[in-house]
Amino acid sequence: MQTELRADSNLERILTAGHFAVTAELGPPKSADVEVIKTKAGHLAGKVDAVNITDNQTAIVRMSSIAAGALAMQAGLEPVIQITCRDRNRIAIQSDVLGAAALGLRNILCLTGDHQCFGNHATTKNVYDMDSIQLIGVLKTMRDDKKFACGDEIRNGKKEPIVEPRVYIGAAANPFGDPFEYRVIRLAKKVNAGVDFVQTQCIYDMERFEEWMRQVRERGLHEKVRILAGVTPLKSVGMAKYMRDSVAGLSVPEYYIERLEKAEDKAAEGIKICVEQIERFREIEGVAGVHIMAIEWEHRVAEIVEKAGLLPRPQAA
Amino acid sequence: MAKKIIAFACENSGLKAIEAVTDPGVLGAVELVRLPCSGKIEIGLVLKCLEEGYPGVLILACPIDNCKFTRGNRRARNRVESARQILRAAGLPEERVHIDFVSSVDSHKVAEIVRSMQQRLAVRTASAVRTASAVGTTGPAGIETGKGAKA
Amino acid sequence: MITAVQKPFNEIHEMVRECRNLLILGCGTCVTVCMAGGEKEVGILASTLRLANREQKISMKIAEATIERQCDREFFDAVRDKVEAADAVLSMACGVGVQFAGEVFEGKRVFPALNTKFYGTNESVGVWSERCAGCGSCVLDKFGGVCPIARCSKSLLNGPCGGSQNGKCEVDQERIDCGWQLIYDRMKSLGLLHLLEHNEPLKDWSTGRDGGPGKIVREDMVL
Repeated sequence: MQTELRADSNLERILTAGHFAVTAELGPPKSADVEVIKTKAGHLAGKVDAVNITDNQTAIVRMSSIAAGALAMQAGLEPVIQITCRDRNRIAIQSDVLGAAALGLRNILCLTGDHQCFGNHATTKNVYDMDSIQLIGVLKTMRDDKKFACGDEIRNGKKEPIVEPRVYIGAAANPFGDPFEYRVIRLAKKVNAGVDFVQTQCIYDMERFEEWMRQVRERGLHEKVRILAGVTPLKSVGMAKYMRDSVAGLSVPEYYIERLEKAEDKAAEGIKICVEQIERFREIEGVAGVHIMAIEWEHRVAEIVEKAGLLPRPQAA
Repeated sequence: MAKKIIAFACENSGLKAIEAVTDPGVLGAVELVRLPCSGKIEIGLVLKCLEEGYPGVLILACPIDNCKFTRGNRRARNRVESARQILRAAGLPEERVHIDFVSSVDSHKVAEIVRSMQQRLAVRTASAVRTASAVGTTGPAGIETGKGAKA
Repeated sequence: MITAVQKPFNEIHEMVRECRNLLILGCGTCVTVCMAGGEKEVGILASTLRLANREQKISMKIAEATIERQCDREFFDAVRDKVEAADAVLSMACGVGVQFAGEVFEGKRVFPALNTKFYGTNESVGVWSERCAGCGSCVLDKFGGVCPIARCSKSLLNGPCGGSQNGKCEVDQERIDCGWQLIYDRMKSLGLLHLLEHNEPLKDWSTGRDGGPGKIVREDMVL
């Protein structure tokens, strides 16, 4: 697989060296508040290899991923900037990528983006000038061909140097969406477009995930892209049932819900389940790391990483 | 200005039932129109009747699942509901249009239906004139897809 | 055809409230087929307006007429007199007809009674759904005859997104089919699934609305 560093980000170094990577998530504030970013960053610094900074997730307005990412970086984290296709056209996105690179942000995750009907500005016009696969292609073209999508070289003038953005390109993968048979093909398309790493949607149905991984390995995709398995620790029975009933494509096995119902300390049981999942991921061939999405539970991430035996994080050269 | 309720009656059911009514109060209150099937009724015609001054329009149809032409009475029901929706959206009294389902032997029932309608309409005209503010915001357009509906 | 639905009554009434002589003009083509603005609907709207006016003590004369189409100049000749006699026209055509009527009858106010929706098909009695977005560079050959621009809520060319579930779209799981599920099923039935493995490149949106208002000129046909 890849040996030469493309962006020289911490995440890239860790994955290239073959360590089991750990990433987490941080949602920027719905205001111009800087303190909350510092607080959340404090919980995660040193405990994970990189942190996704979401981009107006569920179409609710939040501080921009790049701005929050730059602030998180100041607070000691390595960010994974997220860019969705919903709100920006190719001009704005390429512009943002130049800005991100200039600020030292090296990991960018390409997403389609939830439809605006889910958010707080449902009457807006959406963009979707491109889809996530085309977006991956654009980033690869910028980085490796050193050209914009229109073919222009990335230089400020004919006599000025080419300064392309060196980014580590990520995307999401959904082992559980429909049509199920097509999901591996979609991953193959992302690989062909040039993606370096993918993070999956949060997994509870381990059997289905292992089946997806088998199909992934069958196509040799695990050797072309680093796959991080997604988890979300269950805080309560209510949350488990909500995830099962209301989130598209997610199924939560009964035995997890039963364990939570029987447990005295539900949160602790949820963390125990999460740790078990991580341990199982480490045994699956082709899984290069874990992506912990502890929504509004960032302060428990360190505990999960520690209990899974993944601390201290390696300092990859 | 006509003061009678105009009743469109299906010849297979409602018409026979109403023709067997003996109460002169009821007979004198309606103007009868024979339909080969209640499904022949049109929204435009119903509204035209109201426009012409009929205080109420009554449709007498066969019981559901007993239409000689299979679905005519269901059509009639849908159209009456649409007409009522149109009236409602325009701030006009929807009870001016009414449909009921009777068999050919239901003359007592039909007489009651006419009397109830008379009462409802009398209450209408006796009460104060409605103000110009209308209620309802949907036209006869039916249900649309998620476009706009989620906003 | 172009589909449309009638505006809410109050909105229409507000528009025409000040008129003393109104002509309601229907269209006999698309909007007749989608049951929104044909002769029948003109009659219903006229009756409803007269009843509402009576109730609200508004004095307004309402005339009714329907012509074949409101997007072709020749059909307006038949109603020229009626239009001239009216203060304003309440057009029950699609947005094209409403505008064209205003161009043909200079100085005459033309109000839209309908909200124009989409280019669509009559799926079954009483049901119409969108099929084409008029993007100006048709890609139906690549997707087995199912359009990703019009039928995918996000117009993805390399779909589906993660929100596709049980063949339905995340935007409205009850009413909107996932366009990409439809493409997948169609390509599968045609034995062309392998074609979907190709990554579709960035679209040139300038051939459609994003390039500005469109115009077609056939030099060989211009008189």
